[in-house]
Amino acid sequence: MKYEIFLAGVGGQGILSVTDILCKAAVETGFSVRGSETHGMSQRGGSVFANVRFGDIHSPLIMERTADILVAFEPAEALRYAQFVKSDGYCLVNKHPIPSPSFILSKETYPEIKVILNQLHRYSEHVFSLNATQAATELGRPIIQNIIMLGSLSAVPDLPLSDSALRLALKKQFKPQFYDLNLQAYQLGRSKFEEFLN
Amino acid sequence: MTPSYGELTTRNLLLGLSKVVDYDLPVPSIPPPEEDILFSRPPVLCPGCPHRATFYALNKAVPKRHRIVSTDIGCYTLGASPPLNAGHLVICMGSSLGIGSGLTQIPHQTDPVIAVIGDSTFWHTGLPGLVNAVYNKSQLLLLVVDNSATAMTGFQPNPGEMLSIADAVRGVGVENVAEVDAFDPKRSLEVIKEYVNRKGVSVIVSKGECRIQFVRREGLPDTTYEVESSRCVGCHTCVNRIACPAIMWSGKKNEKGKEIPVIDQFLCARCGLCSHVCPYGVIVPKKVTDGADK
Repeated sequence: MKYEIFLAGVGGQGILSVTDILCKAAVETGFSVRGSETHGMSQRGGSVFANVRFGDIHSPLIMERTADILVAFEPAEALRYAQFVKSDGYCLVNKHPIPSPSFILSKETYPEIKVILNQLHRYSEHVFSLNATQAATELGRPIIQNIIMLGSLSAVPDLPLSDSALRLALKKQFKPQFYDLNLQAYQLGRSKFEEFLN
Repeated sequence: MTPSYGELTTRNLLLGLSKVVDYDLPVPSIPPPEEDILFSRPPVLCPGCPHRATFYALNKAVPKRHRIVSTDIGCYTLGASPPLNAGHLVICMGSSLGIGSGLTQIPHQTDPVIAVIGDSTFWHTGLPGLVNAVYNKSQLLLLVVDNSATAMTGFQPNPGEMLSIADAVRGVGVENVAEVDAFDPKRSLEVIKEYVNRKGVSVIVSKGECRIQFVRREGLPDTTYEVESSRCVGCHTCVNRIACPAIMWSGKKNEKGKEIPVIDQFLCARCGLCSHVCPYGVIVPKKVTDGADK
């Protein structure tokens, strides 16, 4: 068995924290795990991706069309890395757009979210989207959109990481005072994805 | 075989191997994009980055067209992009000094040569190049952008925690050594102007803590900055000179039809550089009570 998760987003969104949580949960479950992340240019504001592979694997990088899950914390970044998800894999998208800082000096503009989501369907049968940033803002901390997305990911069918393993890894990742709110965000993401499945 | 440039991805490797072993390995085909709607998202200096302030001062002190900037590996490499344009060449860690020193030896090359290096890269491989520049009596200005952090790769410890760059530089024989506050661009600009013309190797250490590190420890200051849109003349100096990611188009225009920028309060790290940059003084400080919570 091998399982592959591709994470994508904008630097500063907490992508590497989620990567850490997934790796920890996989290790606790007893899998052999390899994680890999963009280095060097992973500045805030730049395009960032990370790979998590576990099970019977030997190398850290995910090949195109093979990821079981693509979790994107930003819609344009979902499309940028859409070729990595397999056609029957799951594509989970936070549809809150983040414009590029380069827009202010160039003529480029943000494409329509609807168009992006339509294009994603060409790569994956299962495209799930929610405005996690808005939901996180309603919870009081916009930054925890990443935990909402982690919650959604936790409910993907046949994910070899259990809900309890993920919660434990989430608990270990941040300072104790953040756990209650993080758990709330996690649960919210999880139930939104369960609604999507039904 | 494998491509001669670009990234050696798993897929590219498989394609290359298929040819080498003359056997069709299963390589996934990628559906071509329906239409190209994606924009580029290049990495940028963070809001509140001290390097932006240093480069702003450098650009005012030494005209972009009449200088050669040899930069190095670190966050400040991003200063090579427009509109800061502070970097013509970069190869590897420590190369700013070797190349910079070499450039000063070119006959009839009269434009000032400036080497830019960060604090942790300076300790990593900057010193040998500096020693060589001193030995060769290079006419070189070294700008050490000291943010007290190995920021780009994730805040690894570095010897700067216990050693002084200015002392080390004096120790290898540099006489023209100055320390400036990166967030005081007016003063930095004067010092750069003065030092760029001095004989031999000069060193300016521009000190300003990495904003991410600072905010993590201290929280955000309780003074933020805002564009007074009613007074903004729409000159766009803030956008064109520093391009801070927190400065955006507001979508509003002034009575002359000029677009007015706005400071995104979620992204703003409250460094205040833009208030120095605005020639009309319409970017103004404002007390807020949200403190460190961001």
